Amino acid sequence: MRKVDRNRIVGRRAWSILAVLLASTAACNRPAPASQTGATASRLPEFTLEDQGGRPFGLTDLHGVVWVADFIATHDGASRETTQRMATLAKDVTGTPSMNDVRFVSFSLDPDQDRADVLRAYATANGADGSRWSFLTGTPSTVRALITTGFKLAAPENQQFIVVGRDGRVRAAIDAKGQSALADVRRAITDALAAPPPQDVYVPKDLREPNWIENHRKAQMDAARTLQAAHDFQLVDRVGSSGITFRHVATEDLGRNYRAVHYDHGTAVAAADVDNDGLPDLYFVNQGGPNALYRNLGGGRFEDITAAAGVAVGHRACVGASFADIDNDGDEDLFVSCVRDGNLLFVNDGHGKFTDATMHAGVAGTGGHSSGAVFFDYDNDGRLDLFVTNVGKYTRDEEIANGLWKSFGDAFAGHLHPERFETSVLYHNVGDGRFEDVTKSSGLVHSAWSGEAMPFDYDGDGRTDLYIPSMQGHDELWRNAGNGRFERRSREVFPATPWGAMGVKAFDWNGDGRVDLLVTDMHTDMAADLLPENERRKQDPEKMFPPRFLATDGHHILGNALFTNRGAGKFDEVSETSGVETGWPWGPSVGDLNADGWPDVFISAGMNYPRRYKGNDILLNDGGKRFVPAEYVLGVEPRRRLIRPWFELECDGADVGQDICKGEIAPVMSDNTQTPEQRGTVPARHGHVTVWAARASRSAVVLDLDGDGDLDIVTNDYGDVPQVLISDLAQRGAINFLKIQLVGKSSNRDGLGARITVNAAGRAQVIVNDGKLGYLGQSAVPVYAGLGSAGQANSITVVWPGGQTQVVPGPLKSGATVVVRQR
Amino acid sequence: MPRGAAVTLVFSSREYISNFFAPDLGLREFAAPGLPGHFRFRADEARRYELRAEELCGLPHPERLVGAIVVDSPQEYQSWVRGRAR
Repeated sequence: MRKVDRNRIVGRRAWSILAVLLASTAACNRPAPASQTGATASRLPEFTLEDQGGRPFGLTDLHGVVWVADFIATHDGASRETTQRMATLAKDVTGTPSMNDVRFVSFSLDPDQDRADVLRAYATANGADGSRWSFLTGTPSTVRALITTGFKLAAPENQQFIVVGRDGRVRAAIDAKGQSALADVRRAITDALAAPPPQDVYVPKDLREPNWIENHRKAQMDAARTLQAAHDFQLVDRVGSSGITFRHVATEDLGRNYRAVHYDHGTAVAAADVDNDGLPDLYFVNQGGPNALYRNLGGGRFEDITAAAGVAVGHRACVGASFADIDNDGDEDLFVSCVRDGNLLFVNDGHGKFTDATMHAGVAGTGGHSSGAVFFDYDNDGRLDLFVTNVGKYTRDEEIANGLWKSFGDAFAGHLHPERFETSVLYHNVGDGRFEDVTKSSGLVHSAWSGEAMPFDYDGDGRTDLYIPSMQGHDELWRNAGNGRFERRSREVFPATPWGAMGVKAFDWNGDGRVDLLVTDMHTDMAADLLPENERRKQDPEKMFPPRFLATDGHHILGNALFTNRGAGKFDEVSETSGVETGWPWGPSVGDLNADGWPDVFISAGMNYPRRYKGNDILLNDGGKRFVPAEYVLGVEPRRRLIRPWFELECDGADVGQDICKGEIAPVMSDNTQTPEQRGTVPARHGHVTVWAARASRSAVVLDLDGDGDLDIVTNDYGDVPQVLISDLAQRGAINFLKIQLVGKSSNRDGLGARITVNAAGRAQVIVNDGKLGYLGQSAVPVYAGLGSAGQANSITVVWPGGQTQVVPGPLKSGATVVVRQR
Repeated sequence: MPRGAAVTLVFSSREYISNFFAPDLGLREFAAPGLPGHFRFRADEARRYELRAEELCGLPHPERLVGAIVVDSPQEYQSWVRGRAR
């Protein structure tokens, strides 16, 4: 695999390029006056950059404070003078109680050179107090966008101080070189501080004080002392320096006009090397905003190529994204599932340019509430077929905006309304880029409330079956009968399944060579308040939904399920003894995070408004014996900022009738134990109100994003920016791994459905190439196999779909990408 | 309600899914638009039983006290009925 760090090429010239670009952009923007004070401009746009600590930092971190910005390059003499003046200002306010709400922010104009470590040294050299003075970097394009369209500055290198008010609006632009600059800034700060602080409402009431987190962290760190699995590495969110500016936009039905609805189940992130340059690119799916494709530039940097690649989806609210080579031409095509407005298939030209081939392919669907979709070759004819889940009708026939539809108030009772059912669709790939709907003829008529599906060969007969979780009912197992027909085998094989299953992944967790099944159950956790101390426990049967609401035979696992494969199509449910119970889980992403040869699990988890914070989970596989929670140990939790502004209200204007404005919603505590008397009453609110809510992920992919040999994690967070969690495992010492790229010939070219056995150090590690790197998505990246202490693999055996066995003899040295071409 | 009588309490919801609870009677049921809920019970003790409700998967109001089931002796109940009739 060819590796290209495009940043190295552009980085040396970035400083001058940025200056030129800013100058050319300036012609399109009205530059801020050299010295101007008073409340003025529009609010600055949301941004997420990276601070000198290597952490994401954005406008939300400056909510409610007055701040002074300057624009510097650490190697630039004029900038150093400005920094010294800023230091004088910072020193002035330190220790002055009336100035407690003042912050300082220095934006690097040379972000390629001024990485976090450079800024950290620069901050230290200038005596900056890191709690009040942040130095920010990003990519040249993200910084440029903020300066030109946010600050509307023509020539930031001319040294200016910008004073920003509590409301995020620019109040003054002052020539930093002027004789009266410091006095002018102090005056502007004083004026800005006179403005009333923002009105913030936190839902739930104790959103800002999650005291349980420290207890969780401590307990996990203590438990880690006896953990055998390697855990001495960290995953750090580097989204601020990645150039990924994608922001998921939530529907108002999950904000100011709250209705519990399936939009809440989120959207996918998927990965594939769309331009065949050897680097995995990322596609993020959105609801109220645009989807985005980011090209991997190497070195942890990305650029938005959505429009150029031709994969924008217009005003559609979408859910799933699946990469696969549907025409066996050696590049990854893209299927995007959407809500009501039709699904999309984009065909790749091999260079990352896509053509909308939906109509030709015949996969638009019928305007259902589509969700996760999976490519697999059910008839082993060498062409990838497609299964698209349709959840059920959870919206009314009333469009709000941007492809978002008004939700049913009782959306979660949809399974009790047969008229709202939508049948999922099985498409047979007939070649020439066309698909045929074979749902009825195949017998795979699935109308349960399902948003995800997992192809896997449950009985080892060489044919790929389909496990379909149901988020409101029993899961279903569809056995591939081999004659183009599927047979329901659900209760015979899995007598009890989670009632509220959301995500699923098949993998061999215990190293016995048989593929097991992990099912994550979100909705059972919604039957009663999920208290922090109960996150790793099954739901209390006494608190489970009433039987009439379950509408099943009542045989359910009250939480996550881990079905261990005992062979011959028999499974044992071992979730209680294996340690896989987690709270509010969406879906699993499986990968060998510590490269020890045992697959670990990242579970995207948590809810937003109006519930408390609940972070993501990492379950480290302890030698195939059990899973051990490690999200705190590995630095994934708690994230730096747990909450974010969720929506804003004008209580004397358009939102005067909203419940929070009227005072009818007095936020409750997250443990929900207060009586109405204890809650008291809340007076009506006036003016501008910001309502805050918990942050939470939805989907994720686990892959080696930066090509350093260890696995990283990228999330798609609901109503938020993603997390780009970069592992430092490979930097902490030598690790052993292989990457395996399958190239099918008579089988599908991606080799989806192939069973890979890696023989190393006396172990046979079985991995099925299914592309399922996470919830709602399907990706196309090489299969990753950690080798533990083995510096090489003795051989790799591939069983292709259809049964052909191919052995790649060793030794296969650690670190290699082994390309296995089907004979 | 008169003590010892078999009672069916029917409740409905106009837009959302509501869970109803009468904790001291061990009752828990839901109602949704078009799907009314029923409590079928017999109370053998004359007292006041709290009736609570919450929106399923919805805004986390505490289980709101939405009323009470008042169980009287048959005589007191008849007296109450006569009083209502006047």
